[in-house]
Amino acid sequence: MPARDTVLAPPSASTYVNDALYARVMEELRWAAEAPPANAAATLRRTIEGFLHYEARLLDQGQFEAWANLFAPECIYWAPANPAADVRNNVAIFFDDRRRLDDRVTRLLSSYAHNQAPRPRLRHLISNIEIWPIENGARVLSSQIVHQHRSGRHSVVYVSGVGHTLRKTDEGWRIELKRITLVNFDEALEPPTLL
Amino acid sequence: MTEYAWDHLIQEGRVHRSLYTDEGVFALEMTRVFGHVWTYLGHETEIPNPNDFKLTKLGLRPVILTRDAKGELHALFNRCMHRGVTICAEHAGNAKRFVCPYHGWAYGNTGKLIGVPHSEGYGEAFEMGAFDLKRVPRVASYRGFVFGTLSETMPSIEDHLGGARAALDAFIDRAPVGQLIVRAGAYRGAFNGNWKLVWDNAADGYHVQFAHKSLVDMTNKRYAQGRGADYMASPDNSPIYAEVFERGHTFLHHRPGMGPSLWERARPTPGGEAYAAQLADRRGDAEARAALEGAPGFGMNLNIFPNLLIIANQIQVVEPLAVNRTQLTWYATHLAGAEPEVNVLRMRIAEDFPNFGEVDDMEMFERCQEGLAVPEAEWVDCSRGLYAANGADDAARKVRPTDEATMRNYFRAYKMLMQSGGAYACS
Repeated sequence: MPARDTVLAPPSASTYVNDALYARVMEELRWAAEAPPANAAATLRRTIEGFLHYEARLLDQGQFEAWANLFAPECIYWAPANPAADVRNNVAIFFDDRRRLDDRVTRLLSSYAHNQAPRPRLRHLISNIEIWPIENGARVLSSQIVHQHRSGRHSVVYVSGVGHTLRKTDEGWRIELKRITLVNFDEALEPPTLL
Repeated sequence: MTEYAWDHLIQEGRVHRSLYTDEGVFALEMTRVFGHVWTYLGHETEIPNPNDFKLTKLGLRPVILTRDAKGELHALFNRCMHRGVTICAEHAGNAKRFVCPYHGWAYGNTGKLIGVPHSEGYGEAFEMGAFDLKRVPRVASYRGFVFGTLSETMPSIEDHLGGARAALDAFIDRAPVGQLIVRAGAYRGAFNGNWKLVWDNAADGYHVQFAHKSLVDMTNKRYAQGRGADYMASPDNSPIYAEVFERGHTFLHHRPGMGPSLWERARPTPGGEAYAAQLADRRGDAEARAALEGAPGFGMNLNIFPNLLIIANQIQVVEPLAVNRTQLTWYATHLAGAEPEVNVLRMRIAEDFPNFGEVDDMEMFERCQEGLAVPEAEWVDCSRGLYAANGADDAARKVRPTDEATMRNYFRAYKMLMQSGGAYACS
């Protein structure tokens, strides 16, 4: 693994989370209600599937910094508490920008993150992938089941519909937006490690 | 019903493990505490219009909080008077009537029974009025915060809030027009532990540097000095303090240690710079800086017994589910009359502590519950600071932030309730 992938960049100012960003993010939900085109090229599908599997594997292997570095510099990692509501004016389970995502990973990797000791074992299962090609990238819907198990504790299963906005860059594919809508978004949660 | 030796179980400086593990104790609490004491049910702005309703709970009792056509509030047990079915399954909405799905009994949103299908089958002597929904007899609103009690003898909500009222007022008065709007959704967490573990923790300035070390270390590693709760590194040497009030309420006041600006002190927030810049463009630097002070947490833990915790910029409600299971619901709040940028930032700030702090608290609660299973180690210690109290614990007073007077204080109110069988011994 190249060193670049395992080191988080220093925090930078949150200048891009503005009204325009919130409007784009909410647009993603509207788009996700539509049918994808029938003719997404087979090569694109294989590429996207490979990327989602790689992202899931980094999480399942505990390579959280490398995972975070799959996100674009101006990214959003979001789990709505109410997918029908505008997240600009409603609290989410989380709505991380680049800086808070790196805060999250830094905390998770601390030896003193007590709910991470022993480290929960994760396994992401991904299916029902649908793809919408966009300029230089793709929007992707998938169904995901995350099984989280901590030795000596109970297991938790998180079932969700996930939306990715992915962009091809010189450094490879990057995640601009990852939205995780849990089926039980309105119920009390055991805190997930990373979804 | 078993009666317990409360004087033995709740002593000054230590309490018995069975208070956290015994199902009989829990069953009594659900009436003697949750039920008897003014218990937070919801906020008026959640049901702003005539005929609005929301589901809530009073202890384990399912309740529909309604606003009738005239604007009056009612807390109705969500329980058909016929066979016991919960008559409402929607979390919130607008309805003039609630019709039981089982046999079609219909109730108005005041609780009045207004229709029984084929009622002739009950004979001529049938009195509809005897089958109105049971209700929480007393409902009161304090500046939008709605509380209910089953007790006819509880003093007014204002008297119950007592010394805690000033801090609650201050939290509400951050809003330019002096009102909170609680219509921004909620973050919900649950843990396998007793509800009182939340109370043991709620005004505890002792645990921060240990239980929250992952958050403290992250903040120190990534950000310049003066962000987050660095004053908690040695809390008793900082200007922060705790305060205890009659009827179990407690208060941990961080602001004296937080410096001149809560906004500068808050951990960085998604959109922080973008919205600060937009606000400065619209209002000018000075006005923007002043307005931004309304965004972050208010630097206090205000804990209103038994289930309303004001923390950061939100309302945390403690919901007991079982002796060893508790839900925590964090309602985000908007400030009425505030700049829109400030209210957007409040959403992202509200997500901070549940994600970065409460996760470790809930881990501690679960591990307390596990450890308290040891029958041979009977006592939970809460004696810190007692040596210096000289019996002064009984009066409202300020104490060091690590002092467990806060824990002793709520247990004093709790003991009074459990001992008196629910009759609140108001002073």
